[in-house]
Amino acid sequence: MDQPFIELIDIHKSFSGNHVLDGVNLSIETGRVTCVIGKSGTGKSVLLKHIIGLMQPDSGQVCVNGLPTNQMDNIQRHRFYRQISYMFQDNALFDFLTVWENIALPLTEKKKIPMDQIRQRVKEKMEALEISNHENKYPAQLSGGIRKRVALARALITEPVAVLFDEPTSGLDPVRRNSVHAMITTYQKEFGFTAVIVSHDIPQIFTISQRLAMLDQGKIIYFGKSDGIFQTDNDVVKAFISGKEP
Amino acid sequence: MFKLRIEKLGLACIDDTRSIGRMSIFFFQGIWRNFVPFVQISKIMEQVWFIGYKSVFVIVLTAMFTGMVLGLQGYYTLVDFGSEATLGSAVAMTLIRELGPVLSAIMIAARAGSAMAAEIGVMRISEQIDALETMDIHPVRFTFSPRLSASIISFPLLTALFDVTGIFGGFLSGVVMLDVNRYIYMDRVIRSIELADVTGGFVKALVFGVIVSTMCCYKGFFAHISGSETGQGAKSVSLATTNAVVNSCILILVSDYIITSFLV
Repeated sequence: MDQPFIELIDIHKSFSGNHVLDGVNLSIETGRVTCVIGKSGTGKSVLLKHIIGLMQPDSGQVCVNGLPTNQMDNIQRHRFYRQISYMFQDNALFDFLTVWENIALPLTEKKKIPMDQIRQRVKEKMEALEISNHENKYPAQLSGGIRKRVALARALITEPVAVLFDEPTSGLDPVRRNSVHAMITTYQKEFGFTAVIVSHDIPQIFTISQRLAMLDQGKIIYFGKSDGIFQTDNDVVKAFISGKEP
Repeated sequence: MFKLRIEKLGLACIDDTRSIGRMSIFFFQGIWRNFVPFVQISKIMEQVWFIGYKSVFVIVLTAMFTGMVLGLQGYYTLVDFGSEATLGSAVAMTLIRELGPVLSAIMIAARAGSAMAAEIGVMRISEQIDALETMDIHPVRFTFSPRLSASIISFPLLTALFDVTGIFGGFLSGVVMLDVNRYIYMDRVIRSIELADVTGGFVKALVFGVIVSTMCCYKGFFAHISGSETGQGAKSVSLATTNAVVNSCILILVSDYIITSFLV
């Protein structure tokens, strides 16, 4: 079996005595779409933030390509950040920058790519996400859906190896939701990146993800193929996917 | 009860020590990151425009009335001793040595410092600073370094403007309104000022610039751990902004005394 791209080993995290992650083990395989589902407040975003390094576990390890993130030196850490992108639930767009500047930011700040190439890349992403006519607007002048697409464009602009999506479709209408899902699928197939998606979009998420993990009370109670979730005997999982109380 | 109080005191001391350590690291990172290639010229100029140019009106207004009050108060004090001719020296020395740097710094802290703390605080609670980290952009370099450089450029310039406007304000109240001889006023101003006074004023302005930008950016940057029970919310930003301005003003006055004791 191939080594997973990202591996979470016995992750524990608590806030003011509230145990949010209680021994989470999860393997994210290279080139696959893994979706993390679960009720609100079960620590799905916290889990994602542990992967990207925005939060440190109380105990346990996050490994990327077999290397624990807490043992990475500066060069390895920079390399890791170049490989991975994160799309925030509330977009985290810079309100003092225009749409174009927001999308180009990860490239313009580094000055490693010539400006004409940056322009070309931003143009391509804006066209793909149908936001070209908002180029000079500020985030405050955009609707929630457009902001989401701008955030998505920014996450994809560096052409990362892995993208972490924190509820990429929250606040979108069903049409836009489907187009975001379609876009993630298309891009994932085109570039072959590894994707981790935190989402509540049941049943749509089953069609775009190859692996599913369900988080409940700080533990992964289901991990496996997307279609396998319907065969599970776990009452909590069954209740969640059918939208009922267990 | 007594044990509990001691524990609280101990915790407060640990918190304060941590805070000082965090601020020192933040400050040195801010300086160091200014020199890491490439130099962020456009961002620094943007901040010079915001901190410097946009404070001009406030500085001119404050300086004008400060100078006028100095002229008025100075005249009625000096006239009792028959030495109203020295009004120019009194106004100029007071402004250049003390009031110019201190009042400009306090006014800039109130206008630009509060904005810095609030802007960076909002960036923190809306996860924009986290987003920078995920993009491998150093958040201290992005948020603090340009503001620090801009403050180092702007504070001495605004202090110079304050001094000149204040001396003109003193001229208005002393010469135009109270009939002090204009040639004597200007002659006293020119004769009494020495290079050391101007240099001392600029040294103070420079130090105040570093204090205000560091304190305000630091408070905004760590707004989420500013001690507010509400954590990452609007309340924590307002608390960070208030603390930033109050602490800046206190530090300006304390450091003014320390610098003056070295300069005299």
